[in-house]
Amino acid sequence: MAKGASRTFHPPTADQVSGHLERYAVVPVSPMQQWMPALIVGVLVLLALSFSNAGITLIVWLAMLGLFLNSFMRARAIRETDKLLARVQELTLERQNFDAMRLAWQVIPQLRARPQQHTRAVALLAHNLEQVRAYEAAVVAFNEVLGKLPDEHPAAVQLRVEQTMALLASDQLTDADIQLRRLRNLLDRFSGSAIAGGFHLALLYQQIRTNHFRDAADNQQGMMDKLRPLGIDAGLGYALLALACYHSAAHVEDPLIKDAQLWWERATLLLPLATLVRRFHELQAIEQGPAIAARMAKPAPPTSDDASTPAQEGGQP
Amino acid sequence: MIEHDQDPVQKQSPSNDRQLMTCPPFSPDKLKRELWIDSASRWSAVILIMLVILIFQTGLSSMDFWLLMIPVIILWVAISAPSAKVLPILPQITQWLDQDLPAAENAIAQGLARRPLHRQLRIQLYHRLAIVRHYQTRIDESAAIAQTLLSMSLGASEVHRPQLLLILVESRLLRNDLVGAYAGLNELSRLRLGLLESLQHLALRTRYEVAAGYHTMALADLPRKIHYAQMLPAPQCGSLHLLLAAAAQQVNDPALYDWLMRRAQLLCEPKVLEEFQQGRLAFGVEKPLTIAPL
Repeated sequence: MAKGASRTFHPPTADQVSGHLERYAVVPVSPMQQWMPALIVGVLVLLALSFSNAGITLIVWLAMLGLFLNSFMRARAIRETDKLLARVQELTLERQNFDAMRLAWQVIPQLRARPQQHTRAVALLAHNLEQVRAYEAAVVAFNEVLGKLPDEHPAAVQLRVEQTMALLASDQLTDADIQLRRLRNLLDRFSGSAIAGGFHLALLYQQIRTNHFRDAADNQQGMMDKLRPLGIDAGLGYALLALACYHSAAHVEDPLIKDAQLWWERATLLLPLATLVRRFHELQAIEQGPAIAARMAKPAPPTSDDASTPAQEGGQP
Repeated sequence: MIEHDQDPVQKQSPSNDRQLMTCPPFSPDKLKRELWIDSASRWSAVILIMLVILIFQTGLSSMDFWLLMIPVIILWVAISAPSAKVLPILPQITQWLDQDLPAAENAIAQGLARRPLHRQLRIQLYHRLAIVRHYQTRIDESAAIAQTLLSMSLGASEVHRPQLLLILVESRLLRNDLVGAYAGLNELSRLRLGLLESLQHLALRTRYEVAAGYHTMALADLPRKIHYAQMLPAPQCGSLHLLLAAAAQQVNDPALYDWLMRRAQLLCEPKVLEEFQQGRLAFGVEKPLTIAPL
């Protein structure tokens, strides 16, 4: 997908997501529909065996050929859709969130008869909406997916963590708190995993959003181990810890400033400064703060962030 | 190193519910024999059906036709039934590979115990078994399954060829068989790979280059390698950083070594760093690596 295309794509609003998911909701396939081709073949075989008329035999064979072609075309369409869905996943992994979001939006209508793939596409749409900070739209999409998954399913827990981040970012703090309480009960099963890392990141973000900087700074011990499973995204957590320490410091000589410096160094070692500030606007305070300098990453790895920059005014999905 | 399809709807894992079956040690001869029996039984049924239809064309009465046809249909159903029972559990096995290996092995063992199976289905079950054995670090067995499957025509399962090759290459690297690993990597580079397979290919190629002493080659195009390494899960991303740090140390680039090691320290578990320092993960690295305190 051309990178330039992403620039003309504007993230959908919550209402648009809701409408899209309602319009293209899953349509269950009845057992009758599933067995229809086999039934038709059976009837055609019986017809062929019951009549020795050449005309009927020809019609039966033509009907069989048509049925075969129809099945072939349907199988090919399914394969094409699967390829598109795999591409959405790849784009998501490459953090080309706008392109991934647009493709997920386009592929959802083609998956109405395939519930599992439909759920996967909506989950990917929700994730990418959250990544491009279309938080309210993301919450709608997350709700749609979470309604279809068992509460304790690992994918459901993972998505609930992401939804909590979106709720916090969109100031739905009470709902976020309810989600975090629910997640806390499930956390034992996911100890040491990226899901647990995501939960700790969400807890940290809650403390930042509710101005409980001191609580976050007091609990900084052991946070590296808790956030490490997130990979380079642990940098987001380190940056929030730096912010918490920074705001908790009473004066420039406060030891918390040194802690803030250390966490900030770790954060910027893993993620570029622009990515950190784009994800959490609160970090502008620390970026512009006089006491902390970002450690420059060397060699600067190329990032796909450019592909994820907010869209210019343009077409709707 | 292997990535699987994610199926969002999961059934309850059986690993806590009952005694689980395990698969017997792999034998290439047994696999080939099973595949032969599968094909022979299926083709026998097809030939029988064709024969009955041909006999009918020669003037058999309708009653006689059905007297012949009904047993053949029953035979066909009997031959297809085991595959029909195993096919629906295949996505579940794929999901268990990530979450519950004993449950996955149990389901594979139950599937393989059924006969006859559709050829593709049996190949798919053995492909999943190779992954199970690889995750269980029974690398000799996983390599043997991968090698046997790779030596035959996979038909519709050709899509799994890159994954089987990745298993084989990693097994060879773990056994320090660099010549075999090179051959596998070469074959992989000729295949069309998806993003996840490309990431794993990159990780294994870097491991091979460091192990074989091609440190400059390992560090070539580093920004791109780092960019892709960041898409891997944290432990693999960290391991790749460690390998690149080892290469940087060997080519005497202390600034690059420092940057890579500091990132590796943030990405890897302390245990992995310790093992790396002791040289257990450092294939072909002569000097022990020093880990600076964070």
